[in-house]
Order: sequence, then structure tokens, then C-alpha cells
Amino acid sequence: MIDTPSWHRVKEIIEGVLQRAPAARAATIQQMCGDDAFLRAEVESLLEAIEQASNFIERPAVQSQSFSASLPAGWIPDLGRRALEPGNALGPYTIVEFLGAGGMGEVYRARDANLNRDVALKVRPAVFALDADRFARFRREAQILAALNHPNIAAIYGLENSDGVQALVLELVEGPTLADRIAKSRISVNEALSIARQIAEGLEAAHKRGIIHSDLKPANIKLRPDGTVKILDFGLAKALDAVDVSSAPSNPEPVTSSSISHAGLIFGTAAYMSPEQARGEVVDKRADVWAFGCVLYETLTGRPAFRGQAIEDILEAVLNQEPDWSLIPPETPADILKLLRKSLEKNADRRLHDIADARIEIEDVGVPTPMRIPRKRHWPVVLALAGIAAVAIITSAFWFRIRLGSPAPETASSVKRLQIRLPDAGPPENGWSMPLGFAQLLIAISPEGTRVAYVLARQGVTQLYLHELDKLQPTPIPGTEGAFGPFFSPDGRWIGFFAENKLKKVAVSGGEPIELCAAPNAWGGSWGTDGTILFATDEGRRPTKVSENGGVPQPILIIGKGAFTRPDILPGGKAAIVSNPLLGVGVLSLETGEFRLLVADAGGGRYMPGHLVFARPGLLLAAPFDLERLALTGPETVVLEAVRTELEGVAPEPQAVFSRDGTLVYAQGGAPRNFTRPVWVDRQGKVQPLDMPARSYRTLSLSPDGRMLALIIADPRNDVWVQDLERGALTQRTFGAEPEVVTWTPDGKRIAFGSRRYGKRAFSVPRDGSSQPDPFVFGSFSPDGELVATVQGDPSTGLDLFVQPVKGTQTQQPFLRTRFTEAGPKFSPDGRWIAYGSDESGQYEIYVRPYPGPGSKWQISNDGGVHVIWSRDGKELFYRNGQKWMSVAVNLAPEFTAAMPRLLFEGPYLLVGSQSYDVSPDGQRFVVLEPVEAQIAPVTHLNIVLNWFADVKRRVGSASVQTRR
Amino acid sequence: MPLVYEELRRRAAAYLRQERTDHTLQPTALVNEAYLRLIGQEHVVWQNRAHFYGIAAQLMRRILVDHARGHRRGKRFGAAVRVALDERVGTSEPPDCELLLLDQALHELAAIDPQQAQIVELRYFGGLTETEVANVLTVSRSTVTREWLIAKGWLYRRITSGQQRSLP
Repeated sequence: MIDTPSWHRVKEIIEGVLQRAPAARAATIQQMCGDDAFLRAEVESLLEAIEQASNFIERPAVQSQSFSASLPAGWIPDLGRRALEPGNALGPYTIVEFLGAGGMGEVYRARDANLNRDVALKVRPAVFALDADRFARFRREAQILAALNHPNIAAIYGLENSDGVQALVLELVEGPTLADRIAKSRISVNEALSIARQIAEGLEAAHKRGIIHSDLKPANIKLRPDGTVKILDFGLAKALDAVDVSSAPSNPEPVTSSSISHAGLIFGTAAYMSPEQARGEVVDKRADVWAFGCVLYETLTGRPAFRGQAIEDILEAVLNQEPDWSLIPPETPADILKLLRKSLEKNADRRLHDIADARIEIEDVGVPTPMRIPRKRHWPVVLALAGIAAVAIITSAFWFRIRLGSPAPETASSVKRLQIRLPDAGPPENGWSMPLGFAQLLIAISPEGTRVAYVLARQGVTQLYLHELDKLQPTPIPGTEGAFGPFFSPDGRWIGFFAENKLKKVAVSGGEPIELCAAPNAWGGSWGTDGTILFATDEGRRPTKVSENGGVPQPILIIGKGAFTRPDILPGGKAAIVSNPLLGVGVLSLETGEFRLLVADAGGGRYMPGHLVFARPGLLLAAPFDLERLALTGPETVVLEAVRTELEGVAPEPQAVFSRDGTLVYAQGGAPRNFTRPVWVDRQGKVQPLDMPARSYRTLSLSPDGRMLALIIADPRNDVWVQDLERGALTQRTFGAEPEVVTWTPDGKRIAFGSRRYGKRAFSVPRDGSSQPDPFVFGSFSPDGELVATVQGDPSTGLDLFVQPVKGTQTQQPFLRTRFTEAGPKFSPDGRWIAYGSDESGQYEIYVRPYPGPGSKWQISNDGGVHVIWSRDGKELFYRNGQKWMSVAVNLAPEFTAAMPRLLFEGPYLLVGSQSYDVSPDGQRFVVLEPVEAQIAPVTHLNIVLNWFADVKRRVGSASVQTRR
Repeated sequence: MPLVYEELRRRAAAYLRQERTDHTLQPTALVNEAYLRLIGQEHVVWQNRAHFYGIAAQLMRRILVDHARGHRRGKRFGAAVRVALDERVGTSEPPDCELLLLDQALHELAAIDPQQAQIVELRYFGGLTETEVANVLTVSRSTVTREWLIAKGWLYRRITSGQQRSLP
């Protein structure tokens, strides 16, 4: 038995060798290994591997999923299963040894007993074996290839199929591959041209017979010791493809025989793939000319013409980049450089058409003559860019032809109006309401105006639909369930959207949606040209930037307080148009976090060149806008009527979007008037209406004795009203106060409310009698009425909880300040606990903490919850989770305990603001707001206006003229 | 640990689904973030930096390998590559095979040279620089450089040769 050298010894020698200069290494190995041949073989083998592995796993795994680019060309993963072992027989062939794994399977050296020669057997792994039918067709293909008889092409001898093992019998060519040779040392220009000439000859012979290789690369070219060049695997990839494509319709199995060739192909060949191949188009012999160019470039320079760490980077280079011409050795003849450029022409029509021309060119060069020292020329890049621009122009012109019949000049008369009918899945019900209870934008249009994405609902679940405008029907995008707030990437190839409290993106071309980052309670997103996505989380309180590739979201530090929804990044990327639900539309600086109001009481602001477009209920308006000064420069004008807008009152959310070129898509319908009426619901869900007419009730609060109901009615502006539940009389208590939230003081004598007017302050009015509101506090009062728990916003921590005395000048004390959103604090009846909602887990849940603390928190809800309320006896907590009302039994003393949440009832009752229901003093009934059938027609169509900008400019222009007069 | 693992797996998966590979977040940052989010800063007491980085790298390795296994189960070889031809290259399955092979080879390397395997784990899966690895393992920077070079060669040979040409 032979002793294997010890790892310790091997490592010691390697370390010694690595410290020496390369020239001295051989001597060092000799000296250290002495006459131990095994040790020496091991050391040399490992040293060789170390040299080859220079780029191997250099990038951390999470950054680079594939290290295949650093592995030898043609390598495919070896899963450790061999089809055959030495000594196995396959027909007349006996396996001698395993040679390697290549693009089409495993390769063995085998002995042909009949002809007494060695052959190469390429064995297809069993999983990719062809069925009998396809095997027969492949055999016919292979026969054509076998007829190729040329000294520079490795011959195909035949095909073997026995015992379920399918193998190609090929000429065995001794010697290294061109890939090995290139890796080993520099190849002189003369030698390179000699190799190239032989490759060209082989290709020429095959092309004459109408056979193309379609997978030419250094790993498929062998250099025999006698200097003969042999091209391997001629036409095999294509033959397999042909077999495959023709049988595809009848074959439901997605894994096709061509997959294996493609598997190898994509690994080894991405760098040699012509642009048309990379695009998946049908290829002809010009693809071989391209690959020939790549091989010649690599032979001359030692480096692939198109490189990249990952396959997609390589293909990107193939499609869009020029090889580095400065690497071509200066002694290369000028004509050869020209030949290379003509072979590597990305446009196949302008590429060298015939490989024979390449052969002639090389032959004509004869003795190489020095050429001018090549400099990195820039014109090819410029040309390439011009080419891209031309493609873009052609594309858009083509588009115009489809849409308009002919390109239209930008005049008002060219404005066209169309409609698309939404498919049977309808728009989301309930006023297109989204998880937040706020309406969200549900339409997006790609910047170039060729595709529209919109959200439809089927059985209450929303999904994103993609509508290519040159097609009649949209297609649902798989995996986008729960989506809302879609927006396109600047190149129109991706759609960003929100679902499951995450920001996601999905490729227009298909594929699984990709999760980018968490986006709790998002309200609008915008995709910048610099590759960042700006989106508003926490209902707009935290505008955040994230790379379009995901990563760590970067919140924008806002100066002051407020929510900024539905961002639209302005050109330059330094600021965005945003909507503040309480103020209106303005500009948010993404650098300083400063917000400047542009239009009060408006929503849905978007930039259109030279203008700001925004919404008021049912209307789109526009005003001239100076992008430099970020200011309006003229009066506002109505530019579109009867637009569907969500949310009454301020910050209406218009269902309208437009593309860069002025295609407008919108839903018709005006502003909804969401009428509701208060109803009692008992613990079993039984409904008993109050005797009150349907109106725009917004939120409510029961008096401590349960006999009075304070309500906010939007009619059209919010005010406080009080319903006497015993006498059935409704009286208005404020006039133009614009309250948002309302509650009773514990003694039941006053009604406190927070107002969005007067800088979001709190006031109170007495229970009866007429008097102006007095400045007061708003929040949850402690049972003795001395303290109030409030919610305050902070630029760095979002909404936090504070407690302050109701009277006196003592300032508020923070109760809970985290970077998460805390809201809806409620003092327990004994005043020793505060229940509240927080999104710290990624969604709103209900928690309880001791007051004044310190102490740990208890999580009350287990699957989301908002609007927590204590029962008056302190034994129960109520909250709602969407349309479910939940109850949790609690014990406050001697220590806090909470049971599991229990479902009380479900109902489609209005979810709005910070309090959407209240509980009767006995804890047996709940007063909620039941939506009354929508006063607005459901959306069944989307309207499209082509060249809408012309219409906007005309209207804004005439408004400006009028004001000047 | 299982909780952290679950959280991390979710986050890493989000990373892996991205179609570009040029993001720069360090795995350790990912792990750190996951820990902080789950346990809360005040409760995490690391024995030392090495402990933390070691666990981070180990977790990332587990996550990536599990992810690769899941992929191999979920998809058929080749199907994804075919998709790649129509422009969506990158999320194909073969890289997962590579990762599994590397994982297997790394197990073998650990049997003959635990320190080298640890260096590879920290560098490749943990995303640490050579200097960081040196600090974590309290060895010199030059040792890390040298060992990393040899380990890479060993693994490369192990994976590409497909045969057990080296020592058991």
C-alpha cells in the first residue's frame, strides 16, 4: 500500500513554494519533495489549482450566487453520479476512463473493439435521455453531422443507445483545448492566426453544407500536439434543439433535451453568444462568425472579449458593450483588427457575412506587419449609444403607428380618448379601500406609455394585472395577491408594488415577484432613474429610500412632523412631489427632509414637464411649475373632470396616472360620498340600527353614561355633532372646526377633539349649550381626569406615546418612544395600565404596558389589531382586526394576565381614523358605522387620453392669459 | 437560535431573489439586524466578536445551502436555464448545485484542516475581509492570506476534478 502524503507536509511545502519567486519554485519543489513522487504530484496538482482558483469564491456568497464564471469554460456541476465506470461496456465500446463533464454530459474515453481505436463517448445523463421517438430524430440529425468530413472538425462516428444509456460516439482528439492553452501562457500573434485560420476553414466547410456550430468557444476547440486544430461538438447543440423544438407541443415535460445543452451553453458560452442568440432569436451562420471573433479576440489577448462576474453581467456586456480593443497586442496586423471589429459587429446584418472572408483575410495577412499603436477609440461606443437611441425612436414610432395610425404632432386636436374595459374581476370593492382603510392608487402606466398595470380584486383578494396597450386583454401577474399602489421602473420593465406590508417588484416579462424590503402600511412609491425607489411607509410618516435591488431602506429624516404620501420623484432625484393628507400637495427635499406646501387642500400631486398636476375631489388640476425654483408660477386650472378620487375632503387620492409622453389613464367617477349610519351590534353580531339618517359620519365616541353619542360628520367639512340616544335629537356642536378625532372627558361634561386646523391642536366644547371651542387636550383620559395619554409625532421616531396633566403648565412626559409607530393609547379603568397599538412587529398589534412603568409589555392581539378599548370594568379588552371584533379577557390585579383573543363578531363596518367604534358601558353592545351603499358607480372601464399634455397646456395656457388680463 | 434562523432565512431569501448581484450589504450586518430585531439589543451578549462572526457565517452558510437544496427540490435542472435565454438570467438553478458542491467540499476540508475551513466560512459565507478574519481568529493577516489561497485551491480542485484526488 502506498502511503498518502500527510496534509501537514503538503501544506508546509506549498507554503514554502509560495514564498519563492515563480522562477525558483520548480527548484524548491524538487528540493523539498526529494524523490517522493506522490508527494510531488500532490504538491504540483494543488499548486496548479491554486493558480487557477485566483478568482474562485472571491466574492462573498450572498453577493454572488454563482462562482461559475471563475470555473473553467464548459464546466457543469458534477453531482457525483457517473453513468459509467471503467470496464463497463456500451455496445461495442468498453469504457477506459472518465475524461470530464462537458456541456452535453459526461465524456469518457472508450475502446472500440471492432475498429481497434479509442473514441470519445459523450453520455447523456439519464434524466435527460431522449425518448425513442426523439432519439430516432436525433439520430437523423446526427447522421447529417456525421457526414461532415473535414480535418479541422472532430468527426461524429455514430450514436449508441443500449441499456437506456445514450451516447454519442466521437473522434477522440488528444491534446489540450484552446481554453487550456489560453490559460497556460500567452499565444503569439502568428500562432493565434494559425489557429484562427484552421477554425475558419472548419467553419467554412460546415457552413457550405448548411450546418452551423452555434456553440463555438475555446473549450470546444482542441489543439493536437501536431498543431492541427479540431473543432468539437459541431452542430450538436442545434441538433438537439431541433429535435426538441419540433416535439415541444406534444411534450408536456418542461425539462427538455435542449435544456442540458443550454445548461452547458449558458455556463460556458454566455461569453461567446452572439447578441441575437442572447436575445433568444433564431440564429444563423453569422452567430458562428461572432463566436469566431470572440475566440480570436481571446486567443490574441488571453481574455474573453465579454466578461462579467455573473452570467447576466456577461450577457449585458455582449448586448451593450464593446470589447476592450486596447488589449489587442500592438503587433497585430491592422487588417486583423478590422476583421475582429467586423466579426464582433452587434448588428448581425452589418457583421462579416461569410467566414470564408475571415479565412481569406488571415491568409492575405501572411507575415504580420506592425500596426499603429491602438488607442481606446470612443467612436464605437458613441455609435452603440446612437444605435440604442435609434432603437428607442423606432420603438416609439412603431408604437405610435399602432396607436394613432401615424405619428402625431403635439396639438390639442391630436388628443385622443379611448376606453379599456376591465375584465370580469372587478376593482376592489368598498371604495377601493386597501388594508389601511385609506384608498390607494391602483393604476400605473409605464413611462413610455405602452403598458398599464392595475389592481383588480377577485373574491376580495387584489391582484396586479398587466395590460399591454397593443393587446385587448390584460394578464394577471402571478404572485401579486394583495397588491396595491403599483408604479413602474423608469425603463418600464418592472412594476413596483406593495403587498403583505412589503415593497416588491415584478418583471413585466414575467417571473416571481421579488421582495425588496419591509414597507409597513405603505402609501405610494416612485422609482427614480438613479435606481432608488422612494416610498412612504407608516401611512406616509416615514418616506424611505431603498435601492431597486433591495437592501437596507434609508428613511428620509423629515424636518418637522407630518405624513407624506404618494411620492413622485422629480427630475434630478433631489426632491419629490408628495401629498400631505392634512395640508395638501408640496415638495419634499430628499436631501434636507424639508417640506414646502405648494397647493393647499389637494392630493395626488404629480410632475408633468413644466406643470404640477394634482387633485381635488373629483377633479384633476394643473398649474405651471418651475422645476428650478420648485415653485408654482401661475394659477391652477381644472384640466379633467369626473375623475375618480378617493377620500373626501382634503388630500383626495385620484385614480389617474400619466406617462412621460403624456398618455393619461384614469378611472371615471368623481368623488365618492361614503355615507354611513351608526348601528348597534351585540356580542353575537346582531345588528340594531339607530334611528339616524345616512350621512358622512366619520368617527364616534359614546359618553361615559352611554346616553350621548358624539360624532364627526363630514358635510362637507368635518364638525362635531352630538346625538342624544334617548331623545333621538342630533345637534351640531362645532362650526368649521374640522375635528379629526373626538372623545368625552371622564366626567362626561365636555367633548374633546383634535383638529387639523389651527396647526393640529386640541379643543373642547361643553356637552350642551353654545360656546366656542376652548383650547384643551386630546387623548385618552385617566379615570380621575387628571392625565391624558396622547400621540405625538417625531421626525426621528415617528409616532410616540406621551402622558401629560390635563391642567397646569407641566409638560408632557414620554411614555413610549421607539422608532416604530405607536398609536391609540387607552388608560385602563384603574389608571395603572395603558393599552395601545404598535407596528413594531411589522403590522399593528395591541399591547399593554404598566403606567407609569417601568415594566414589560404584554402582547394582546396575535394576528394584527387596531383601535383598542377597555371595558368599563377593566376585565376585557376589545380591538378590531380588519372586519373582526375581538375580545381578550384580562386581569389587572394582583398581576396582569391576558387570555387568548376571542372572536366576537364580524362585519363590514367603516374603518377610519383612530376610533371606528365604541362600547356601551355594560360591554354588551358596540356602536359602529355601517357603510350605506356607495353613491358612486363602480369602476368598469379605464379611460385613456393620448397626448393629454397638449390638452393640459392648452387649458393652463388660456387660464394664464385670463389672469393676465 | 431557530427563531433567528427563520428570520435570517427570510431576509437572505429576499436577497437571493434579486436579479443583480452588486449589492454590498455584509452578511454580518444582516445577521446583526436579525438578532437585534428578534431579541432586542439589550439581551444579546456575545461572548466575543469571534463568537458573533462565527455564528453569523455559519448561519449564512446554512441559509444559503438550505436555499440551494430547496431550489433543487423545487425546480428541475435546466428549466431555469431555458428561461435565462429570454433575458432573465441569474436566478437559475445550477449555481445552487455549485453551492451544494462547495458546501460538501468544505466539510471535507474541515476534516483535514479545520482552520482553513473556518477561514473559508468566514470569508465566503460571512463576507469578512482578510483583516477581519485575522482579528476574529486572532492570527496574523499573512496567515489568513496564505491559508485562504491554499484552501481555495484545494476546494477548486475538489470541485472541478470531481474526483477524490486528494487526501481523505
